[in-house]
Amino acid sequence: MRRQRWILVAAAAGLTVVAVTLGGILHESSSPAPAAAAAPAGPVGQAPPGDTAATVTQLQTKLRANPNDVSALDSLGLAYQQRARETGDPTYYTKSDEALHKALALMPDDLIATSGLGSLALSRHRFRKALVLGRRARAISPTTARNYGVIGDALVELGRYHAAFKTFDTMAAMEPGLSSYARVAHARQLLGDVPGAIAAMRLAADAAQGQGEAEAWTHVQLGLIDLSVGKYQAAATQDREALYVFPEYALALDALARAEAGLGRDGQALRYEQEAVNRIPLPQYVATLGDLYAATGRPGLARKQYELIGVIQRLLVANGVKTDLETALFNVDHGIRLRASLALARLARRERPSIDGDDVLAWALERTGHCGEALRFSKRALRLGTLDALKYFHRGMIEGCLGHRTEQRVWLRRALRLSPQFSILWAPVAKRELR
Amino acid sequence: MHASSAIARKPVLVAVALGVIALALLLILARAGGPTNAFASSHAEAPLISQDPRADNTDLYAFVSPDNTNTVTMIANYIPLESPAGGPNFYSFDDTVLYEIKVDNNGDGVPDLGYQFRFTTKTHNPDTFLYNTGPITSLTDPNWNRPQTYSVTLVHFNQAGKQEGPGQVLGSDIPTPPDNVGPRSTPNYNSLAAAAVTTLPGNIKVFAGQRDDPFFVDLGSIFDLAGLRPFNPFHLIPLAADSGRDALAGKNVHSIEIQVPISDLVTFSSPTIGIYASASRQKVRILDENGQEQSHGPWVQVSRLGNPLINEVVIPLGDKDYWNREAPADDQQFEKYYNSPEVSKLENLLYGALPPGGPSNGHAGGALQAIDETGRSDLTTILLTGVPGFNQIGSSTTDADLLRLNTAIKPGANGACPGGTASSAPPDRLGPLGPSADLCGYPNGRRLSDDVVDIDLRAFAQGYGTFLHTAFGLPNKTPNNLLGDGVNQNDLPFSGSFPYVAPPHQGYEVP
Repeated sequence: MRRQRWILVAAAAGLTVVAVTLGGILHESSSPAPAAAAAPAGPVGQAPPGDTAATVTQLQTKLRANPNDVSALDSLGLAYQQRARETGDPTYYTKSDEALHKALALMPDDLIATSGLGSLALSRHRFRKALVLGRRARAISPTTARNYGVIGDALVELGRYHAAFKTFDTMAAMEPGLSSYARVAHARQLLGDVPGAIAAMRLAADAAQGQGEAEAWTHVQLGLIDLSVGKYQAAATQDREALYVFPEYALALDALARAEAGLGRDGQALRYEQEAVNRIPLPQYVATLGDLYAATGRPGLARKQYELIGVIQRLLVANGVKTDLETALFNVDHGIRLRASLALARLARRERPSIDGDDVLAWALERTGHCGEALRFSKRALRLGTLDALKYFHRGMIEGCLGHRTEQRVWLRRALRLSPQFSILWAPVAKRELR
Repeated sequence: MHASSAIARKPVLVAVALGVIALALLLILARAGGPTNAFASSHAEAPLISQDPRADNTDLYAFVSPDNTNTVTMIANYIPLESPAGGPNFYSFDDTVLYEIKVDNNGDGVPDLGYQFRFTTKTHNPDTFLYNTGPITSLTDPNWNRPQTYSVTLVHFNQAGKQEGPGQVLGSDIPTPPDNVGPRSTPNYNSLAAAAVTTLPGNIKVFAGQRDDPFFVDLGSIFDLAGLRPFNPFHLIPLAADSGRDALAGKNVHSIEIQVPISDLVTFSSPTIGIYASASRQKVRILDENGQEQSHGPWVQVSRLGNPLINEVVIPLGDKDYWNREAPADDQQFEKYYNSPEVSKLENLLYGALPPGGPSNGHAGGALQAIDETGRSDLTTILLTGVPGFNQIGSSTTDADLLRLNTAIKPGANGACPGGTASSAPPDRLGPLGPSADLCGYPNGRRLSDDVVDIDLRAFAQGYGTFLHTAFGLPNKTPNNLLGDGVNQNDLPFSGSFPYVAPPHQGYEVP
């Protein structure tokens, strides 16, 4: 506790604005060409380098002088997490883990290290661990809203929605703002309340305005909500706005690619997805790129992308990220080692009993002919009333496998009505089945 | 905690300074923003360590207007550290935030009246993301794609602090100026800004928009182990003395300014009023009872400001968010932090003894006299209750973080009032702590030119200066009463008339 009090002192002549000294630099560097010269759409201008790298170097220098400096360790641990987000390089997770654990060993009640390890656990998809850490951080400071975010995020992924939503409501009542509005939006989306999700995410976007990547993030989220209900043009507009405020943002490039695919513009989709992969080669982006190549009749290029995924996933796993659910889904989708993938899906679902865990397991069961059991999990996956065309499609295929022709058509139609191009791989299959 | 005794003195010290960096980084991470999606589409990592600059109240000023001494001017600033080249979207107030300046005139810590500011942004051309599509030559120029207007509402509060009725709308559709983009987009900026100064019925003047950040401080040195460049030779880790550098030079902010007749604000029983500003956001629930998004609240206060630097200097990390949500009337719960201030301990630690080998050059100062680390009734007086006979509201001793302004103390034509009488001398940056004992300055209200960093450094070190010592019995230790960061004035001069704060730096000139 003593150190925390010192921290506050440190703010001594401190200022409201203190903090953003370095952030200001980041912000400036993210500004593209003068407004009048900037194209209103598309990924233009230079990538914002971000100054987190410089911050990391500065902290490393300070730590060489004083290796046991808890505050510097805290800061470094968080900076590494930001670097991981910026570069997609998971080795930063390992570095963050080391720095924060060292901080915690020196100061067991440290709020920043505790919640920092919580957010790290979330990034690594270790949700039970994140829950424990979030609760520990809450015990240290019950009045700090972000601790409730760590707890709620973990509960969502553990499928404990009632408790998660209560936690988010507590957070939102305590501190309305970007973080809590975004979580309320996500919860409403899970509950199938699309207008409510959009309303809350718009509040988040207002709160994020002027904050570069955070603002862009909210636009991408609004675009993803549009995408989920088949409003591809609206989604593309949000994604372009994200790229306007934060050029070359990989998350926005990927979302824009999917919106373009929805609009039937595969060439544009390929271009944007390739740029997303160039920026950050996340397995999800690489898989979409492969699917786009496959859909446009270039199986050789598709295979190349698919082969890359295994490599990236091994790198993720080596740095503590759990990828079982994602690997299982990718393999099942692409017909790779189906029996082993079913076993993996079962394991992943135990680790992560969310509606996504249920859905991936249901789909793996269907692809391996266990359709009775698949139906059970598909029902669980749809239990919140989420509007999710892919889950509807999975359900339709399961019903079909069980010989329930009417139900099959109902669910496939429902999927296509919600989002006619819900998946590069599977929307054509749904249409074929309905013929 | 016993373990701390195991930590050697210097490492502790270093930990202190880096603690600042930890805080800084938290905010940087938020500003750099950026939660990207982990690759599971279901697990969208929403921001956790988020900042809220548009609802972040950075500073509050309140003074008897030097050019119209029958009025008080109150200025609340939001959005810290704006880079003038803040494109492509530039900065604006948040249409979904309730901005308020509230006044307690009977000393119970509860606001009696308040002015609410609500903003509305129009989009002229929804087909472009651009801020402007050509030069903006007037506040109604269609080239300005996203003009923002606002309303001002006078509200009253009951004794429990609850707003009574909807209030009285003093003005609506009031224009704001655009941000100062550059000579092509915003030529003749000063005339654009002047056109946004609006007089409302009842002789109330208002202005809301981008301005130069009037705050000045040497952050770079303070972040480096609480260093004060002029006092470098006396720091535990001595360096050669140097002059201070204003870290906020060239930065902008968004100001809400209102000038009100004093008679609107005070009661007969006391000429002193207590002021605080706040920003509130709408509370949302996942399952809204009526399924409808409310456009007007309910509101949750997310930041507040009375005296400068309280949340930064006095309130510990784990309580910072909580403090921002609380009402000033409930500030007694935080009194313990004022009574045993960490800043004073730091001052003792860093400057309490001459460094080994003595000062590294021939500076006139010396090691600080020992500062009391507990029982600091001087701080609770100036920061929580007001000084009796000076700026206490009536005879109330209620704890509340309010900026207390005695409206009976009138400035001279140039804003100074040494010794309480109008004078032709310029305002003393140290207010009543300074050599001219300027009673118009902080902690009696706060003028733009008041050097609150130096005033706070001295107050926390019990170096209140001769006048406050003689007149009100506050301690005056030497050389504690010489402390300062070496940044003594703003980078731009202030104006002598409303809206007083300097025009914003131009994006074209200050990238």
